[in-house]
Amino acid sequence: MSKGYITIAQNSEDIDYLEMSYALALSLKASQENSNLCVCVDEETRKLITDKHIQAFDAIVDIPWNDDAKGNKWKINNKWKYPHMTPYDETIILDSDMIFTDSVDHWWDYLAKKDVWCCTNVKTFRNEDVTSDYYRKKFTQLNLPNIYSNFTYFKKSELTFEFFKMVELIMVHWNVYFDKFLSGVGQNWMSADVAYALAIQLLDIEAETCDYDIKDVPTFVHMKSMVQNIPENQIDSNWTKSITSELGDDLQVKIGNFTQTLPVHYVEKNWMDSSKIKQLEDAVL
Amino acid sequence: MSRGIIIFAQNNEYLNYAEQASACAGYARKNLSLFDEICLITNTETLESNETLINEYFDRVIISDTFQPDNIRLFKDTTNKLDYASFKNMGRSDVYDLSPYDETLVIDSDYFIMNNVLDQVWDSVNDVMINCNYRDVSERHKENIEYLDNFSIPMYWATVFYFRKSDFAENLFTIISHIKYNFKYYYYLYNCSGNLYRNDFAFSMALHILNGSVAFDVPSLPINYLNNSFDLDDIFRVNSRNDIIMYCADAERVTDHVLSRFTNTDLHIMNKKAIGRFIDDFLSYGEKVNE
Repeated sequence: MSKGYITIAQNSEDIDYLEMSYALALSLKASQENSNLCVCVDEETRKLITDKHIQAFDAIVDIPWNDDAKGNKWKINNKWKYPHMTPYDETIILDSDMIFTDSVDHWWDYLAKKDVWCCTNVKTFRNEDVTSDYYRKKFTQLNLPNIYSNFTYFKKSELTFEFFKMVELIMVHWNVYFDKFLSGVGQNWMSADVAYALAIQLLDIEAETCDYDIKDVPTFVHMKSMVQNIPENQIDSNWTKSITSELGDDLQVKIGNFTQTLPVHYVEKNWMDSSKIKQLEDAVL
Repeated sequence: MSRGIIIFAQNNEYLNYAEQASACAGYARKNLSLFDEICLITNTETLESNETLINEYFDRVIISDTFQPDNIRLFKDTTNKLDYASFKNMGRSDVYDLSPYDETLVIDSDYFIMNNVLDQVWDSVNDVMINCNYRDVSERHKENIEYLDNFSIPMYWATVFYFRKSDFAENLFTIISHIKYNFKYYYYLYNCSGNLYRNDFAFSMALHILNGSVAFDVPSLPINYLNNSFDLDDIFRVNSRNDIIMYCADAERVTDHVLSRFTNTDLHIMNKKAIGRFIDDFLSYGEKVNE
């Protein structure tokens, strides 16, 4: 059974997702026994691929059936295509703005107990469970499954394809699904988290895909500012302006006074800069 | 395996800590039974001015005359009276070397033991036990966990802690001592405000460092939180060895107070002047050596 991670890298005008995916791939190589990363690209991003990317990525796959995110600044519309793009039997979906520091290889066997396993608990930089719904009012109001799509495990199975088919319908016909199921408080724009959550709710597969009792697998550190258990009036909406952080020579990520041991979703795209990538390259290549 | 309770006390110009420590020892002796001794660590000056009282309440006295640099803090006696005075709290890091016991329970001189739960610490599998959680008996502080700063690490309360002679505990106190001598640097590193050296901060930093600067849980004491009465509260009446009625500062208006009764539960009374006003009651309800 082949296993690997998958992410979508579609560069926009101002954000270099390919470079972040490259950094992600290097961090996986530095920390994981299973470091396979499949990167899915659109036509334009494909043109930017160089030898270093080919060396770091296990697979580079063209996003099929046109680019549903074409023209969008926030390119999430292709996130229903993962099971069709992955070259692996077992896959974990990641966002490109993530970095791994310590091994989570042991999670794979555990996650294999389900066909689809969605992350339902994330952590602050102090490793506390995030309890704030600051960014998730819609989840609270509509009692949606509290899933974070960017650490979703799936194996190729009937349930998996059924789930992603539903995600496809929601993403392609967002306005229809929004009006029928999602209108009210909170966000009105489409996010992968809301689309995945609604798909789970409509298919009534929450018990099959989520486990709220297990807080530590799968999980990651989510660096959105307002969920860090810091008073809202004391932290900038861009956490990097309020909390010190570094990538050490040992490739450990330190945020505030805390060395991070879980995958880190750094959110702020400029956090991953050329000097950090150089550090990762020096260590891995 | 020897088991001892240790209390630190050094008088300053503001408070008679020796009296307070004696009251605290009396409550510990009355409510706990599985220890061997209660020991006071103090300086020569404090001992000489309170020797009779100290000998009544303590099985053993250890003199530690190490220099205590100026560490000025604000003492509040409700909202009515504020005073600055020296805070002689820097000896705490020496307790590992000073303790003659295999197992030691250290308690602050303003911590009143009113049940026997702390008897459960002895013969623990843990090298160190200390609490991170607390409850404000007045409910003015809503948090259950306090940080050294909103961006910093969780605070562990050095008010009460247990340790056994072990590598972990020895390393912990070595680091605490290092932090003590360099605390301004560590305050900067951990985003701490103020210039007052606090044992709570030093213990929290040392535990954080010793655990590899990752998020961690340190084993807690048998009851995993402290009952804190902050210094805006006052004492109304001391009824017995396990029964105190407090004036708790109202959460909305701290000059108003609500009567609250605490029975069979330990209480950390931070208004030290209030303890002084009731010192005769505390001493009479406590138990002396050989009583």
